[in-house]
Amino acid sequence: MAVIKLLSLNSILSRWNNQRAIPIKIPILDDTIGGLLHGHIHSVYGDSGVGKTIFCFRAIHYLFQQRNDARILYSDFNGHLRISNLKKMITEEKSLDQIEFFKPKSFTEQIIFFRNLTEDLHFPCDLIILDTFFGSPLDAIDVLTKNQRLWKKRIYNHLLDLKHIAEKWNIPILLTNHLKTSKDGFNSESDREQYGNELLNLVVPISLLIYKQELKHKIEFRLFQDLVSSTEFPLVILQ
Amino acid sequence: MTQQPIAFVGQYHENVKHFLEKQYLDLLKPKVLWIDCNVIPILDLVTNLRNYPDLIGSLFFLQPKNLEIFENLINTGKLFSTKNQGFSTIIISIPDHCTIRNECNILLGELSKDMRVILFMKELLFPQSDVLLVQEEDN
Repeated sequence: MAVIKLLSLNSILSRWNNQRAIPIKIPILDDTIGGLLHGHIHSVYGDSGVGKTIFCFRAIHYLFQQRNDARILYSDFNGHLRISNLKKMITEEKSLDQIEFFKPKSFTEQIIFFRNLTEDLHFPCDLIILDTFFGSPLDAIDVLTKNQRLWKKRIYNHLLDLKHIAEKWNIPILLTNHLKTSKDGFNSESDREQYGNELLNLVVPISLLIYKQELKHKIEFRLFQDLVSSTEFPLVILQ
Repeated sequence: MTQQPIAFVGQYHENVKHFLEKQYLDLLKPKVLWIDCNVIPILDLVTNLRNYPDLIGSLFFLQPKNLEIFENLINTGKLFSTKNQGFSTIIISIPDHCTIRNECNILLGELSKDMRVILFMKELLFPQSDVLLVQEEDN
């Protein structure tokens, strides 16, 4: 049987209070917890095309500003990654070599890949991005309608693997996830259960919802499921 | 001490918030083992235990890395040794997709003869007669 470490609440609080973070110049996030927290998973929800990938590029942009030798693992399940946009957001083109791209062919391949990283990270890494967690909404529906009970169990274990990777290697993980948003944000039960988001809520402490209202981007920031703040925020390609 | 496990049934974060209300804090004394695969609800703990700093030193967590390890922990009966380690209360968040509910029910019933057992679960997984059900009042 695997050995499970006993943690005191004092040690957990001490670790939480001494977190390092990557500031990403989004005040509601940076002012509250410092940015993207090392050792934790962050989820970015939003409708297709709302700016989730730009948000990921933004994280890369500011990580390179903080450390120009940073290494990043970018899992591009969607296949929509535009390198040209990413190039605009990083100051030196050679930084692209510091990003390891992974393109899973299926959700199962993604699960296996990250299960392996729980044992061995293979290369030093300062940020892991999964864009998107489920691929397209159709992939998610496909997965969750095949054998819901089995797949929900697999997805939950996959999320626990990601949590373990973040904690063990002390790196931030950023997941993007499709969520068809309404004007009310994601308060309703049906919103929470879209594409297995109810499972994310159990494991992901920090979540950001991006949506558009009257042509303006808005970001809603939740910590342990409690709404901290929401604000208008322009999500644009930084140059 | 002979009593039934106390079961909080509902959404995870709601269960945690409900449990950490003042009326249940006595259940945290003197030493608690909290077994939970999910994220540790740090903010709820800090907010609710702020006025009871002595309780902070009494809480210990076990975080199984996956469902199989959680189920193994239940099946091997290792939790019976917790009483000898000075734990007076055991809190178990039962994952939604746990497949060994009968084993859990038997083990937790046995454990509750010697210590307080608190359960968090999304749906009632055991016969209602086997647990003391805590339900949130409707607003």
